[in-house]
Amino acid sequence: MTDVQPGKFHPQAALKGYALNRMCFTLNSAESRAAFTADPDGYCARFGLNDEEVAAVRSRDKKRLFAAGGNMYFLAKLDRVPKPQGAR
Amino acid sequence: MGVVVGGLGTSHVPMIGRAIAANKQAEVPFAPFFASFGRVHAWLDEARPDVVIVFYNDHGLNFFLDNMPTFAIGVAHDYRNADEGWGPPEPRTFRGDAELAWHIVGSLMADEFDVATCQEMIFDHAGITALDLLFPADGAGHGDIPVATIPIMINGVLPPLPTPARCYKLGQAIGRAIRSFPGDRRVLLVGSGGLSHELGVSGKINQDFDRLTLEKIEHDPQALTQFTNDEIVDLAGAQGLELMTWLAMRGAAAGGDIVTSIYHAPISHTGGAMMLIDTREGER
Repeated sequence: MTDVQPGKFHPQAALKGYALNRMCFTLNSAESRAAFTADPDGYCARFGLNDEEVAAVRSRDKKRLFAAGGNMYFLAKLDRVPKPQGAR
Repeated sequence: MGVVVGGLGTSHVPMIGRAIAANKQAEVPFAPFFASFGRVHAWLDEARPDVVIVFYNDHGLNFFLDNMPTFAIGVAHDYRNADEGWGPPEPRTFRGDAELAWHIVGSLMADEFDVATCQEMIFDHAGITALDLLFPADGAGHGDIPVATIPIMINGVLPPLPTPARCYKLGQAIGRAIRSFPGDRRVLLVGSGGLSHELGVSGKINQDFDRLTLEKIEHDPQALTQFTNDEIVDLAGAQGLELMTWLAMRGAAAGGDIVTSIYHAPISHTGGAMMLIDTREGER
């Protein structure tokens, strides 16, 4: 996918990332943050994230998260969860 | 009759809320921003608004991508805060004004603005920070909010977003709605957002554009409606689009005179700003 510039409309990005954003949205709650921290991959699987999305979540890399269709307002929730060990 | 007593634009950076919660307004590097609200508080004593309409953009708290309205108005009797990912906050309730809100909805629909109505709405830091800046506590923590609140959400999350021109026109239509309200209300409009910044990226502040924005909000808001959304993203960052809230505010609170204004950059990674406009007529 071509570079996605946050704030601008990219139809190809709008077609992606729903599960990723849905997962991030749940991280508003303390209970969900604890569940995510305990098992990030398992938590992502509950929301049906695809391989690209899961890899982007693991990396916490904004470029990859945006490319996977992540939206900054929801990715901010992921930013508020302490990084799991081993994340680059 | 409804009266528009004024309009206020302000930044709502989370760091502002944290400084308020810790009662460190005088100690933070952006202390002049807080100090500038002294004039606002004196003005509020004089202008005596009983309703504050807050234009803001939800930050992934109340609205999700399953149902994302372009414009949404709170028509509830009250609103609550909630955990935004930082940890559960002290629970707070903000009194609404359902009567005026429903009048505004009726007027907007007749004016061809098809807004979403929310009979429940969780209010996030973008709106709450503005209220806490207006009505501070004597000491630490937040004060009691002595006015009713009507939140109006402008989609700043999922592009395509409403244009600056459309947001300004929405504000104008809301000004008409307030003035046609049969009951007595003194209304302050607040635009909460901006100025230039981009989440996840530090240092994307455009001081020149921010200063131009403030000058145009004061003297020629129409000029800002000539920008496209993408131009604002390029000039002021993705979250610089929160300027939409100031344009809606200024559309509703037209004319008048500046009471006070400040630009302070940076506040966190944002061009911080506040401007208060007095639109009372025959009272000053």
